[in-house]
Amino acid sequence: MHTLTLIATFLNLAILQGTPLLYGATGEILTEKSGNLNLGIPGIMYIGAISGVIGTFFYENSPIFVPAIGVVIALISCLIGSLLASLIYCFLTITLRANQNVTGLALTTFGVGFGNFFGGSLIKVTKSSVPYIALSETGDAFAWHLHFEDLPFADSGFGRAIEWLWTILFSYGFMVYLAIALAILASYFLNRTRRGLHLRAVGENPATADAAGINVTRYKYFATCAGGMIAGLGGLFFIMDYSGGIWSNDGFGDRGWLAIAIVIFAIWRPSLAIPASYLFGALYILYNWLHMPMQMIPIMQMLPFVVTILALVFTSVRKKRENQPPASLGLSYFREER
Amino acid sequence: MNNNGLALELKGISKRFGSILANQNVNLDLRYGEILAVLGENGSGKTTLMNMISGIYFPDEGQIFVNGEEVTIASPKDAFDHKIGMIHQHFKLVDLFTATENIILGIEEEKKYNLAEAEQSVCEITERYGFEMDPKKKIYNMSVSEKQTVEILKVLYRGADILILDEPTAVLTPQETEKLFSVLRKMKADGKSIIIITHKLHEVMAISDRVAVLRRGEHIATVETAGTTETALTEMMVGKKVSLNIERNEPEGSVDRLEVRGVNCVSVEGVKLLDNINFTAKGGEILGIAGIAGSGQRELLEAIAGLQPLESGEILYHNPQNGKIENLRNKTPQQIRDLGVRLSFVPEDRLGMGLVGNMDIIDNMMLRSYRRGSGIFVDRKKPKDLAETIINDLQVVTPSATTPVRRLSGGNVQKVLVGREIASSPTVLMAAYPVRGLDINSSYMIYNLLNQQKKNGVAVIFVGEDLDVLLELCDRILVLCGGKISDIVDGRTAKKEQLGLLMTKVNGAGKEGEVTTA
Repeated sequence: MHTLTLIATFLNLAILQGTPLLYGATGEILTEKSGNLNLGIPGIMYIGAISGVIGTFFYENSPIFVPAIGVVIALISCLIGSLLASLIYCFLTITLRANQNVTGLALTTFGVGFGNFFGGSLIKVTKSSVPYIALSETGDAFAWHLHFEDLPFADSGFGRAIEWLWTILFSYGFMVYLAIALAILASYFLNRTRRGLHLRAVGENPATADAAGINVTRYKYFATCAGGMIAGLGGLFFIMDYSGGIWSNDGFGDRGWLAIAIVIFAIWRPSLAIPASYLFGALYILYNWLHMPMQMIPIMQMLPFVVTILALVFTSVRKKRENQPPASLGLSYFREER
Repeated sequence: MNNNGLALELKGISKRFGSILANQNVNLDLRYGEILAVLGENGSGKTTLMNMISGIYFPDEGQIFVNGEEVTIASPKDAFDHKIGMIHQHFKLVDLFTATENIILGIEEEKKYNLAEAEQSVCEITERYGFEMDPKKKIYNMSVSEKQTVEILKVLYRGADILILDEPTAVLTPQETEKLFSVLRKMKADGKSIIIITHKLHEVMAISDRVAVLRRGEHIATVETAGTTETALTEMMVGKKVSLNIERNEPEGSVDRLEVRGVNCVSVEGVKLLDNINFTAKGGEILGIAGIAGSGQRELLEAIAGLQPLESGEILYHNPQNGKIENLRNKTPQQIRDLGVRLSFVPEDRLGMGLVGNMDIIDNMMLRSYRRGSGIFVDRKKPKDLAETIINDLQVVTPSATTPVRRLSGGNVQKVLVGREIASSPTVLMAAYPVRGLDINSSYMIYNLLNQQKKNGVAVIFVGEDLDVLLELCDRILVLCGGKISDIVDGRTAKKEQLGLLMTKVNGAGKEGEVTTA
């Protein structure tokens, strides 16, 4: 029983840790399926997070505060922030056909700076003595779920027997489930709808898609913006739910890059990104659970990337066409080439 | 439909790309239920014209009528809406998708997306016209002919009534061609109108009802196939001989320099690129190579330069310094270059094989000399002098020798490329399409350069597109057709029509024997 509880707690934390990654990975997969390699995703996740924080900050400090409205405001401002950031990337790479890698990296640098700048400004505004912004009430609303102790059968023998299962499956705020739903939806969209087929065609061979009458620019814009908005939600989840509504500068860390690594690990399939994200989440927190010297921690945190490299080696050796990145990934499309 | 029986009519269509006129005032009409062949040399504007009908390009001038009504075709989608479908020479297929997924790509239908239903309707079409096709097969597992079938199905699935096929037989075996033709005849019987672009005369005669001939972007004539002959068509296609007045000296003291014997070459896909090639290039003469694009010119030059692995055969080089005969097949490209065999190739994208667009002229000169520096430092002085010599002698228009090559105009890029290869005082100079896209003056400058090399005793191999130029510049002309040599003719006595015929069909297999002694 004790082991079960321990495993359940570990999985619970892994899933919480994996959820921001899942948002990022789903968003990036959608984006990459259109042939855009958006390395700006880590930055967009920062921008999404700080946008949500800014929106909520002003609302939470107003006299009439309703938690549910706080949640909605956080979500909306997060989506707007990440949409604007994605539009910068789209305009540069799709309309102006700038180099995608350079644009993406610049956007990440910009996004992290943007987050820290406004985060720092808000901390100044609050004249707080501690270096963070606390939006605990909205944070609580985000993390709200039925606690096991509140269940009628919690104290029964049956209740105790299934408590571990409850911890793994039902002890999260709504955004954990939203992440899974979005990944499944993205998977359905890509594989089972006409527009998904078109989007994949754009990422594989834009000239062919264009000749077939598909508006390549529109699909690229759509996928990149939708992907950016989904990724932005990951940043918001991290601040509002995982961190309990507390923003501290650089708090999000390198999770954005993990999300991009998951895209490769999940061979561009949103459905596979779900287990992959939780696996990465587990690897990311593993060091807490193994008693080891401090200096080993960075090595343990490297594990997700090692796993990604192994996955890359494995898929490259097998050379299965279905497991390769979209063929035109990273390339700009220009029609009247002669 | 009160439209005098025309499915499609073009009036006064013109299109230019920069300074190049691709189509000029073209009139063309297509009747219901007929197969119209569009015939013309490379660069005669066939594909550009068809691209305007299918919405890839937009005409600068002129009108297009479909079923008697004037239409604007600004995008491929507009073309579909008018039931026009084009099967491109380069397939536009997504490799990772199945046949059906490719076929339904881009179609906006009311009904729900259902792959199984779509596969069903694809099967119906294949049965109706006698195709052989598995709708679930992925494109990357398909042969070229299967891919073409998917392209045709794509167009039929959209209910096209006007089909345009751009050189459909270029990639097919004779058996596959016959199969395609029988499908086309069934479609014609079904009332579809078909335009087929080709430069194979016997296919024109076999399949078409009428033939439209294009030459240098202009429409020459449209004739009934039954009332014409291959010779008459060739004449229309190549036109009357134009006098260019390129100077041509008698070759002096020509000696054998390069002997190509029984060379065979196979592509990765197993297609024969070069088929038993035999010829001798002599020092002090210009050997022209004529042929329709993709007949093996590139592969032949690359084989000599050591860039293309040979299946069999040998390339013998008579070294003028020591009189020894060396087999180039056993040498690396670097060793071959050191022997004085130089290749300047100007491909379609213009920047040439061997120039780096982002580097300046001096650096591009250094691509050939960087190994000569002493120690770890490169010698920048000599390349700089050479760059300046080339700029002065060949009148390269450039702000300075340190301007990136990509900023120069096409003609100037070509001068830099050819100039650099000549500067290394080669013994064999191969120039492929060196005047492509150049204006008259620049072209003549290149011809003079080649003549100069000929005078110096260099064996010049000139691959050209313009038959008039080949006939006036070259001492002998080797004609390639489908990777085979059709014949080697004397540049002074050959006729243009003769070349045209040689380019489109092989003249008996027994010719090669006498070729080596020619």
